[in-house]
Parts: sequence; C-alpha cells; structure tokens
Amino acid sequence: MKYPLSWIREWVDVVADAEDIARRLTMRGYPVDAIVRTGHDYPNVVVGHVLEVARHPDADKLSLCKVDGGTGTILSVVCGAPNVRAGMKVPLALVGAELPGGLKIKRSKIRGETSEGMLCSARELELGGDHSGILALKDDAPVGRPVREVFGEPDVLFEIEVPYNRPDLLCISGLARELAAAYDLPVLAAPGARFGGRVLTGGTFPVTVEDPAGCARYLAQVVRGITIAPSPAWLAERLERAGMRPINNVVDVTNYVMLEMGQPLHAFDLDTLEGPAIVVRRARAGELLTTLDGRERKLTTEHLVIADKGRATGLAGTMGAEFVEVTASTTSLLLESAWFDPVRVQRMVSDHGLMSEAARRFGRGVDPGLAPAAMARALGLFAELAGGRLDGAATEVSARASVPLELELRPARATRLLGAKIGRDRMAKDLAAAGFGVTDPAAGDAAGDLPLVITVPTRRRDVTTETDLVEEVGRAFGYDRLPDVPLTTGGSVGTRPDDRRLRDRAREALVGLGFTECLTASLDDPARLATTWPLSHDGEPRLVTIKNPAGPETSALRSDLVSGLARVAAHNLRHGAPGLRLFEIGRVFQPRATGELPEEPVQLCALLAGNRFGEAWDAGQAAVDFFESKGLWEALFARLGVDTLEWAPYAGRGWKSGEASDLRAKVHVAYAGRLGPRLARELDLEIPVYLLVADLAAIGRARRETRRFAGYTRLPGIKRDLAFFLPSSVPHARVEALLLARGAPLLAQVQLFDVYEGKGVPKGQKSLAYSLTFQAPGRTLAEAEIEAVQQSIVSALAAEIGAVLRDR
Amino acid sequence: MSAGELLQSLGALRLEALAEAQRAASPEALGALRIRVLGRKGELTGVLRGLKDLDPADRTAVGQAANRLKDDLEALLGTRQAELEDAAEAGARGLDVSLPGRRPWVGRRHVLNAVEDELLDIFHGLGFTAGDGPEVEDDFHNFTALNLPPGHPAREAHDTYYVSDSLVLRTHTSPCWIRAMEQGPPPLRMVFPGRVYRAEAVDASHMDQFHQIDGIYVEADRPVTLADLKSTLVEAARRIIGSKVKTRFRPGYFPFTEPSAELDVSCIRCGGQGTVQGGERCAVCRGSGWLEILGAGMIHPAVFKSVGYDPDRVTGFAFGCGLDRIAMLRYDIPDIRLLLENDLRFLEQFS
Repeated sequence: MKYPLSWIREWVDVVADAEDIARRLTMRGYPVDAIVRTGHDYPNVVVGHVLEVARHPDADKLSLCKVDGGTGTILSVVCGAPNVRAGMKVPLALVGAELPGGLKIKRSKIRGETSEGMLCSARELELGGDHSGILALKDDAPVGRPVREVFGEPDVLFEIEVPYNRPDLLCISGLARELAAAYDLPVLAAPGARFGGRVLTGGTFPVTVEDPAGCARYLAQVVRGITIAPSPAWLAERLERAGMRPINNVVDVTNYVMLEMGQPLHAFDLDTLEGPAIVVRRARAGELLTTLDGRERKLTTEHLVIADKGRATGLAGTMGAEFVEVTASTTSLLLESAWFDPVRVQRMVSDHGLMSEAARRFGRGVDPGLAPAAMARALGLFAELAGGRLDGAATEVSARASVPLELELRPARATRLLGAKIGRDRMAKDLAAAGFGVTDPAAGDAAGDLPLVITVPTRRRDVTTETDLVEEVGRAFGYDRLPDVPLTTGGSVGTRPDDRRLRDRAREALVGLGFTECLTASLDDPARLATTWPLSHDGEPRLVTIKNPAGPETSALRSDLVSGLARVAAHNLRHGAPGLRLFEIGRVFQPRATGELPEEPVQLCALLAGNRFGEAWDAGQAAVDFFESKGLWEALFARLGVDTLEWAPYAGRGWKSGEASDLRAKVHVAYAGRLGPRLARELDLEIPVYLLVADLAAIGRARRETRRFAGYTRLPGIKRDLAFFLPSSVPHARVEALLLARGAPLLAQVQLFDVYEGKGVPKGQKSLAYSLTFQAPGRTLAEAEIEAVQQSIVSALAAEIGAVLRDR
Repeated sequence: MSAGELLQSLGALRLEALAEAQRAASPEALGALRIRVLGRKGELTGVLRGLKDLDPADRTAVGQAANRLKDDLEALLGTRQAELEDAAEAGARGLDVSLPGRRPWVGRRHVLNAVEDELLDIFHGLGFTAGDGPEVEDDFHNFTALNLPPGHPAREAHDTYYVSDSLVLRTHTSPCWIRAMEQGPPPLRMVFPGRVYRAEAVDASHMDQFHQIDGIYVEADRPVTLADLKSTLVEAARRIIGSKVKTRFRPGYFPFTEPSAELDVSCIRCGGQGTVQGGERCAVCRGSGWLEILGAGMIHPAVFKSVGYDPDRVTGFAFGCGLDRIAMLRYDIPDIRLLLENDLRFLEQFS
C-alpha cells in the first residue's frame, strides 16, 4: 500500500524526515520498498475558470473553451476531455508552461482553431494515473493563482508491502499507530471526531443476517438528499496518491475511509434495493450474479451474498453488482459497514479469481470493533461533500460482541526466546505504546515473576498467543540490539547422508570424464514424456500430472531425465556446439496409488554426441560411437566401484536396434546405447546420440566398497596370443567367459586385441584375437603347464562355440 | 719394433685420429673412424701387435700410452657424436606448437549445484547435517503442520500447483523440517536443500520451479534464542558473501515462525551505497543498499505441537533462503531462466 506522509501526519505528529521514518518502519518489520516524492512547482500552471464550452466545428471529440486564467484576457483553449463543462475550475497551463513530463505549452492551432494553453489531467501533472478527463479543482479555487497553492505542499509516499498477518496496517491510521510507538508519540484523535464521531443505532431499516458466522456484524444507515458530484481535488488527489481512482463523491468517501481507517464500506443506491431490505445469506447453488466488473458469476452455497428482498446484489465484502451502485442520479443511499469472515471472503476471491481493495482487507481480517467509527467518519464526510441527511438511526445486527483477548506474558519466557535481557517494566511500557492494555500484578516489584496481563486490541488479530507478544516485545526492543552470542555446534557434526554422497561421487566422476552438469525443469509435456518413456520403463506411460498447470507443455512431472537433457542437447547443437557431454542427476516421478505420495527415485542420465574431443583439428575430430560411449560409462562405473556389470543386449523401444544394452549386476542398474533414429528425430537430434540412463539407488546397491587390500603377485605373467575363427553370432562376452572358466586358475587376464570380419575369414564367421596372461602366485610357470591349459581352452572353445584356432 | 718406435707410431696415430675425429662431419664418419682405429682389426690393434716382443717394463709404458689413446679418442668421439646430433636436431623442421592440443572435454558442475555444495559445506561447518523430503508433498506437511491450516490467508500467496486435492508440489523446503522432526526427538541441526514450485508467471526474475535451502536447529530443555539465530545467520552470511559484508537483522513475518525475522546484507553490487558510479541508482538493490537474502525465526509453538513436541520444553530456530537468488546475486546473472536453460555458453562460464 502507498501511504502519503501528509495523511499520516493527520494521525501522528511525526516530524522526522522520510528516510528516518522508512528506516524505523523497516527495522520494526515493515520494509519500505520505495520512497516516492510527489508534486511539483508547476510554473505557469494556474487555476483556470471555464466560462464557456462549445463544440469544435471540425472535431466531435474536441471542445472550444473560453477560460479565464487571471491574465487579464479570456483565453481560447481547445480541450479533448469529455468532462469539461462551463463553470469548472481547472488547472490551466499557460503558453510557456512546462509540464512535469517535459511537455512545453505553445500557442498552437488544433484543427484550425487557436489554442492559447492547455487544460490538464491528473496524469499530465503527475498527480496520479487518471487521464480520463481534466482534473476538477475545488469550486472555490482562486482564479489565476498558481495551482501549486491549491495542491498544497509536495508530498512523500511510502510504498510498503504489509505482512499478511497485519491487515491492521492496511490503512493510514494503522501505520500512524506504529509510527507513534516507534517515535514515542501520541496518536492524534481521529479527524472523524470533528464530524460528530458516533453513530446512533436502533434504526428500523430491515436487515436480516442469516449467516452470523459469515457476517458477525452489519450496520446499515439510510441517507437521503444526496447530490452526486466529482470529489474535491484534495480528496481525489489523496485517493490517487494512495493508488485508487476517484469516481464520485460518495464512492470516493467510502474508499477514503477504507484507506484511512481500514474498514471497507459499501454504498447502495437505496432506490434500487427491492424491499427495500438487506438480507445477508449464503448464495443458493447455481445462483447467478453479474458483478461490477461485468462478469457473470455462478455461485455456490460456500459464497456469502448481500441480497435485497429478492436477489443477490453483491458478493459480501468482495464486489457488488452494477445495478445497486451509486450513479449520477442517485439521491438516497444505504451505507453498509460490516464485518465478514476472512475465510469466506478468501473463498470467494479464489473461486472467482477476483480481488478488490475491500476483499484484500476482509480476507485478512478487519477489526470487528471498527464498523461504527468508520461509518461515523463516512457520514461526516457525506454531510460535508455530498449533502444529504440521515434518515433515522442505523440498523445494527451483531452476532456477538467483539471481546478483546486477554493473554499472559511471562517475562522470563520472553527473555528465554529472545536471548536478551529486557526488564518487565520495559516490556510493559513498550506493549502499552503499541496499543496493548497492560496490567502488571507485580508492579513495582522488579524481580516479580507473575505474568503480565495483556489485553489485545481487537484490530490485532495476529496476536493470539504469548509467543506473539514475545515478538511484539522483541520488535520494540529492536532486533539489531540483540546480543551477539558465541556459536557452538553443541557437539553436532554436519554430514551428508549416503544417497547424497553417492550423488556427489557420481557427479564428480562424470565431471572428471568431461561431462557438463545440467539442471532441467521438472515440469514437462506429457506427450513428450510419453515418447521417452520406453527408454527406461516398461509398459504404458504413467505420469504424475498437475491439476492446474500453467499450460499443457508443463503439466506433468518428469518421468525421466532424457526428455530434458535431449532438449538441452538440441538447443546447444542448434547453437553450434561441435559435440556434447551432458548429464543430470535428479528426481523423476512415478505415481503410486491415489492419495499416496509418488515415488521419487533419483535418476542419472548422461548424453554423448558429436566430436570425441572438445577441441581438435586432426584425428580428434572423429565422432563418438557406441564403444566410445561404453568406455566412458565403464569408466564411470569403475570410479563408483561397480565392477560386476553385465552388458546384455537390449531391444527396448526408443533405442537403436542392436546398439543398446541392459546393464545388470544381478538386477537392472542402467540402460545404455544409441538413441533410436526415429525418436532422435522427434527430439530434434540430427546426429547420433548415446545415452546412459541409470537408477542411482541401483548403482548404490551394486557398488562394492573396498574392504581390504587383496595383494598382487610381483612375478611377471607369461603372455600368449590366440586368435580364433568362430560364428559371427557368438558374443565376445561368451568367449571371454569360456576362456576364463577353462583357463582357471592359471589364466589371470584376458584381453581382446582384434576383431575382424571379411577377407580371409570364412563367411558367417569372425576372427577374435586375445592376449592371455598366465600367472601363478609365488612361482614361475613351466612351459608345459601353459601348453596344457591352452590345449584345454582350445578344445573347449571348439566344442562349445565352434571356435577354430587360427594358424599361429 | 723397439719400444721407441712403437711409442712413435702410437703418437702419430693419436694425432691423426684425434684430428680426424674433429674433422668428421657425420655420425657415420665417426663410426667409421672408431672401427678403423679402435676396431678388433683396427690400427691400434695393429700397432700393439709388436707389444709381445718388448721387455715387460717397456710393455707397460707402451700399454699405458695405448690405453690413453683409446680413452681420449673414445671421449672425443662421444663428444663429437653429441655435437653432431645436436646440430642435426637443431636444423630439423619442428612442430607448430601453437596448433591446438587434442583437448578432452572439460566437465563442470552446474552453478546452482556448486552454490548448493558451498552452502552445505558452510552449514556442515556449523554442525548442520543435510536432509531432504519429497517434492510432491501432502497438504499436511506443506501447509497445516507449518501453522498454515486450511483457509489461512498466507496459503493464497503460495500459488500452489496441485497434483490432487490432498497432494501439492511443495511450495517451499520447510515441510522437510516436519519430516525430520517426525523422525525423532531433538536435538536436530539440519539443512534441507531442494527444488520447490510455485504456480507463478515466468519472467526474468520468476520461475515456477526454483531452489531453496532451509535449516533448523531444535533443542529440548536447553533454550535456543533469537540471539542464537541472529549470530548463526550473520556468521553464515559472512561465509557466503564475505567477511566484510554488513548485515541487518529485522522483524519479518512467516506463519511457521514466531518471532520471525529477515536478514538483509549490504548490496554486493554497490556495497550498500545504493548508487553505482555516476550516481545512478543501483539496479540490484533498487537504491536501498540492502538485499533480503534469508527469512528466519523461532519455530512456532503450533509447529512443534503438530509433530508432537512439547512447545514448553522445546525451542528452536529455522531459516531459509533462495539458492537461485544467491547464485544470481553472486554471479550477476540477470535472468533466472538462464539457470534451467543449460546453454553451454552459460554453463561454461562457471568453473
């Protein structure tokens, strides 16, 4: 909310400068977002008196005005404002004036008619946003005098975002009370007192409250003989400075009182009310109401309406219907000053997506004791600005009297929570200054340990417990004065849990292998997630979806990291990256039964594409292939201590046929391979892309911690190279496993060094060449021993997989 | 031949061989010289053939002379060999060492995770252990247990994404406190980094998914005070931003803490001046000189009650801050959307 300092000063006589006020407010917990200075000197802008208004001969929307600016001659001014009329007092910019926005006023011809000045709107004078017409000055404004004399002193606006729990600060008087406490000043009597101050109740206008929980208090006063007119400049200006648009004197007064005192009011045109009567009731299911903003609302029984004898005339405390609003022809009013339940008002705000200044206040909680005083203030302003007389007393329907809450504050408790020694007398004084009633049963006894008895003003709906009072004490004491205390960890040692440590290790390993970490959005397009789903899941896609997404493309929680990482890959390839090594480790989401929290396993996804080297100009420019990717994934798993992975062929959807593998360590750990060309195209990836999609928890289960050093033999091994012809369909892993099984225990290591198919190899066969290392702990092997093992290997391979030893 | 004649022949051979070694222009010529003079059938051997006819005393003298010749010639041949090799090497056409290396890809952590790691390390140093909680939360943990019962006005401000009537995408990392407290009794000293969601329109300073870190310190039967909180946060801010940072601890409002507080730090762009060079208003702190970075407070008694703690015995503080904001402030990142876009030209700037 915006608070003009001039208005605040009507409530508290604070003389400090704006910066000091802002600092104090900020340190009390109400940070001032901005200090805005308003008002200008307006050289050569004077009070003009419009004498005649005639239609411009050449333009329907323009008027020719004769204006007296006190210059000795009557000036001709062309004006485009719809509200200009003879007799008005207006700001007149004379030739030679320069407006705050920099506009210089010159003698000019507008569609053939001479204009010797300009009539100004509020916006042109930077007095607010209103540009719908020229600014009407008070009728008694002295013609020819500089307008700055009419506007008064330039002002200062404080822009403050009021905390949710302090609706009592959503008004000038509320902030003034805080300043009074901050500066130890008295709160001045409300200017409302000048207008009589009190409302007589016991009137006979029929008011029925059918839902006392939703409307604990309703005051209605009939006023007759009203004259609707624009508000005087001082009032219009205040509203505009505080951010509201002036409409007419009656509506403006209700808004003025709301801004000043915090009580929203509503004025009905009495003659439009059927009955006339007021009924506060729950809406009927399906009841329709067109609110002031022109939208038809379908209501439910959760909504509270203000109805007349037959129909709903508005959502209580939120927004009225147009047909009961005050118009230029209104002569009689019903003024409402009421208390509505915050929960009910919030419900209407969220169901209908409408927010109004009234709903903002009712929704957070208005002081239930405020209704009569605010009504009195408004009635006083009506009398002054709109004429009219009260027709009888006001009708009041109250469900319950608002009884101030009484709380106990144990000074020791406050000291214990704040960590500062604050005397009980000091606490009592500060609370009293903030408007609390304080009774000290141990007054005068500084060491007394009886609690203070605190009466909470009804406007402070946020204070409901002793702890709230402790905050109040701390706020008054000043958080900046809390002592610095030595830090101790109390013997607590900060650590990371195992799953986070594993994630950190995997991240470190991938970064070490040249992969760049990405963080992609968790909200994704379900259609896209459905395309990547089969890469790492079986069955049909099962997604966690959002009921109220920003759009369909962010309406599901990701089920894998592939979608996001592929998007990153496509983006960077489009921008010229010669190759990619990307990864992400993050949560993915899988629904469980309705009402249960979804599963949130942590997935690891790495992506490889393009050049083998980050920068290279010769052989390094070669593109990565399956075995490049496999080598990197193997290096990753080696770093993580997973050394028992089997690479089984995998034919899942989405992967390129024959270039994908299911990595298992007894159970599934990861999938790796090349993205299938069709899916790659769908994901805007034009070059081969290799992926690893792993479940981090499975990695954790598969990894082996080194428990103990196993030793190794220092004797050199004996190497023998063997090459075989064998059917192309037999995988290397099968050959290797047979070699190791038959070669045990002397065969220590098997290393493949050549794979060949083609010339010199029988059709349907391939040649695999292995380097075998034989070793025995603690002794040198004899040639005959090795020969024997080799024979056994060769015959086993021949028998089991049809392998033929090639000539040496 | 007499001893004198042999010595003379050796002297002549010595002079001729050493001069020849000096003259030789190639390693090959040096090799040929070595064979000619020192080889098994070489000239030195030839000269020494007469040795067997000499007296033993003469034999010694001649033998010594022969050995000297052999050693000196070998030494000179070695030196010349090295000289010739160096000369040949120096003349060879070298590599263009300015050509780029075959550089492996250089991996990097994401800047947000780097900041998260750093904050975790700082809080580990202050005794806080890392924990977490689910990103899809139930209404109880995200709201009700945090003193945000149904109908609480502050719920409106959370712009919540709903998975179902009872499940939401967590709007803050604070529900992690509840889960940690449900796990066991005090003392607890924990931090919870993680991703959170708000149904907000996305622009340069707002994302509908972003990152927070919350922390709690809870004790039973031993008071934890607002002054403890202040001192902890000031220390954390110094370690995060730098020891020269100025701090401002002031009241704030959060439903789940009471009393509540905010910690402001002096603007890291303008140093708290509010203006940058030329007197222009600092765009980072909008002229105030301060940046809000941490929300905090004493955990609300209602929160303790919701997990079955006795609020008369248990006290504790909590704090939270936005990781994205810290990263953006620290690295002068103008647009929050850059953080999840993962353009390599962005990611590669953080080492």
